[in-house]
Amino acid sequence: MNSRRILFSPRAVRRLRGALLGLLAGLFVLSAATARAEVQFQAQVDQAQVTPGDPIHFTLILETTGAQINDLNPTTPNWGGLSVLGGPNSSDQMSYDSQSGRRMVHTLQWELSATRPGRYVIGPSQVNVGGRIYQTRPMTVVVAAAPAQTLAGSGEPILSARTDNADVNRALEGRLFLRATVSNNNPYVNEPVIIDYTLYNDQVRLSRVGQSVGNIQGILHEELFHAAAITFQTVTLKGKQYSTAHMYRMALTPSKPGPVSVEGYSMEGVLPLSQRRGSNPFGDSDQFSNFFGGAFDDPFFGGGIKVRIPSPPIQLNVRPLPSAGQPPNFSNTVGDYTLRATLDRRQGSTDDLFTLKLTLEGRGAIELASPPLFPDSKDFELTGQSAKPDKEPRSDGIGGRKVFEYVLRPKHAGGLEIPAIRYSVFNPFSAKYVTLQTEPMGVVVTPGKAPLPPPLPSAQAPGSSQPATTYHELHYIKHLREFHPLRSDRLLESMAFWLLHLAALTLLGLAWWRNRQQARMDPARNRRAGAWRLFERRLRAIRQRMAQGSDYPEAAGELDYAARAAVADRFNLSADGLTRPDIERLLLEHSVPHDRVQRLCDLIEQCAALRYAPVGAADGEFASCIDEIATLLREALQE
Amino acid sequence: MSRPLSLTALFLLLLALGALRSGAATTAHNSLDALAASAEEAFQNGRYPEAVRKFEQLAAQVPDPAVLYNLGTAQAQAGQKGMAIWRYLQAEELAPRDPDIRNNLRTLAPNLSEQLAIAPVLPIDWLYHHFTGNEWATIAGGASVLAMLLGAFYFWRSRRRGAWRWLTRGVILPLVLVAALAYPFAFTHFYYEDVLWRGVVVAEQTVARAGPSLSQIETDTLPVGTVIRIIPDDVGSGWYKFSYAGGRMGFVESSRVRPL
Repeated sequence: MNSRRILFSPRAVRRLRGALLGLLAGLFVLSAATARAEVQFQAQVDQAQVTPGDPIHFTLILETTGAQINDLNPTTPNWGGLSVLGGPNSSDQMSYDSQSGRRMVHTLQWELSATRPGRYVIGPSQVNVGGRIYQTRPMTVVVAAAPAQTLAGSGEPILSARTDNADVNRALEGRLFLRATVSNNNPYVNEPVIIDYTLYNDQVRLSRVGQSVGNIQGILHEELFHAAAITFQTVTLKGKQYSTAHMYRMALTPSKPGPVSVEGYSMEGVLPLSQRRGSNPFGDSDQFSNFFGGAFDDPFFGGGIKVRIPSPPIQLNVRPLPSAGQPPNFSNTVGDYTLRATLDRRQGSTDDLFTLKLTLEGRGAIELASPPLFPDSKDFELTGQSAKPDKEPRSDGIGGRKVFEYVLRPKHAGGLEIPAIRYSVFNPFSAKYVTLQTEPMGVVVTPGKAPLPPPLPSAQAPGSSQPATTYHELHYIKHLREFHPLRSDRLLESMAFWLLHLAALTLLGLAWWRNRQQARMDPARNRRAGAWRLFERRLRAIRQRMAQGSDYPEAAGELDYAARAAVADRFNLSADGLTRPDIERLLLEHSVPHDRVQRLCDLIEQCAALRYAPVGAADGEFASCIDEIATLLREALQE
Repeated sequence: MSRPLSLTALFLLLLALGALRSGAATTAHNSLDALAASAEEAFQNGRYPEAVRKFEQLAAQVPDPAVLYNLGTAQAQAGQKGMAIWRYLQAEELAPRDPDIRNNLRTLAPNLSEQLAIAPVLPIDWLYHHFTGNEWATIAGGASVLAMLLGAFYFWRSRRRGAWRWLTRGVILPLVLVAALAYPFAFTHFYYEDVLWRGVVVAEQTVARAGPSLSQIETDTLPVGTVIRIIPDDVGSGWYKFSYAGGRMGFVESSRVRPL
């Protein structure tokens, strides 16, 4: 009663109110300090004007002062058509001063590039800091046309390798570049085009570190080859000698007519620089030394210069397929193909399904080939179909084979026929439509045991390319008397499952530990437990010595001792004073049958007697003695 | 309130709560039975779309393999072959040895077993598909826990270890072997069913495309029942990036695929 009175006294209430006010004031000050947090979010590019292939470094810098903010994730901006070569590389800096408090600078950097001149706008990035959205301004990068570089004497445009260093770029002009060879600049729709990229090098030492293919959208592209290592060959081009290496091969399959421009393949590498004076990435030391003087001695250059080798965009003028002569059932398959049909068997019953395989093979974008239509048939209905393409690169382009499987069910018994299948394709090499056709195939079908299925609904009748469902073969629904909802929870994800394992493992560990402890504290137990093992070891040694030609009298003595020692170990006694009556008594007391005890003791005595027998007189006898003693002892010791 | 009175009131309250709960459970069970009977009646009279709708309601409440099987059968009869295959696959995951489910699945999608095979060796594949992941986990966990407990007993009775040697050779070692066989199956189930994101094509005339847009070119046709591996990649809503036979990749509309 007394304490209750003190708690609710006016003085106590005043104290409580004061404490609450103090707490509120503290919270206000804390929130004011938090609200004082300043955030700056900005974007930067290192170069606002570049030439095609030049690297552009785009950086997002988020600076916060006076607030502790974690998990800052600015959104990735829209690159506006620029290619991302690398990044983002992030870094964080943190400092603290008494006035502004904690200061954090979070930086993200990307490396970008453009292969074509133009004006590129990098979109804004956003970040959420403490519930407030901050946004950067869009950045504009102008990619100006570079002074036209052409392959020496040919007029073919090239893009030389680029680094961050203008002097190195000048030195690299016309000396390190990728050249693209296009198999056909005027392909038809759905006709694959093969593009090979070859690296041309005029005495520049280069370590390749990576490769990439530009952004290709709306056109089917596929890598056919990429070089695992650079292997140079020497060629002479327009009177100039280059080391060349085939780096990359890809196939493009345009799907729409009209002009198409595709960003190409590019490489990244390092021009290795060593600390040794006069060593530079260029084979001819004079030219490079003129640019850099003693720069190679600078430790800054010790790791080498990163270089990017772009390739010019690929320009294709895609031709539409000719409308003249186009067959009515043409399904846009383009290529130089052959068609053949095989059937899994020519005999069966109406219970059987037959599998018809149509193999389309040849040159072209085989994966785009659509399945041939199975025609109306009075003898067979189509119950399922599938297609498996098996594409393979060829020296003259891409191609391969595509196998279409049709699962057919006979409609009746008798001599049936699988009709001829016609398939129209456009051959781009002869620029003509070709209709491929298989031969009709005869099949002998006998009546089966199951009744014939009812006729299919007309919408799914044979002849349509859609497989029909065989409803009559489905088992009937189950009568739901009571529900047995099964747990779909994964037992392997259940904590109880693993806790049970842990508990069992703990028990096992405890028992093992207890056993070890007992073994340490009870040498007699160890001796008993190890009696048989020790006997086995001794027996092995005896047999080994016998095999090496040792005299058996000596071995017989050892066997006599080993057997007595085993019994002595089993009962924690000394082997020296153990007589036959002792052995008999001990074993009989431990329920070993009397006849076995007698036989064992006889054998041990026999061994002892053999020690004094003439050498070679009882070899066989001794060998059988060893085996019998081992058997009897094992049984006796394990009783 | 006196103590006996309080206890009596508490007892009555608990009794009332128990009765309410039991009543609610009975009511729920009755409504499920009525729904099941109504769905079966619709199926028997050939009103398959109605049966599908009712079995779907039932399956949403009770994840019973028999309900899923009935739903799949109703969908197959209603002409929704792809959805039926998907439901049968769900049912088979819960009851892999049900002969009706296996028969109907084989009838609707004869090539499905090749797509779902985990190994080219028949006994391994048969064993894998013959038990659910949880059954394999139970076998593995039971064998290993029992082996550990018997091992603990063996060490505990160490004074007469010789007499218990049969326990090691005759029981513990076989249990360890069973666990060593069953754990890979359990984890493979877990990998294929929970880690790997797979889907089955449920719509007719489904095509794979080169990009996540209807304007992208068609690269292949995907028959109903094709099992694809969905690649978790942010390709925009309404599309899945996937890989299928031969390591090829493509994009498919997500509405045409149901995740397994």
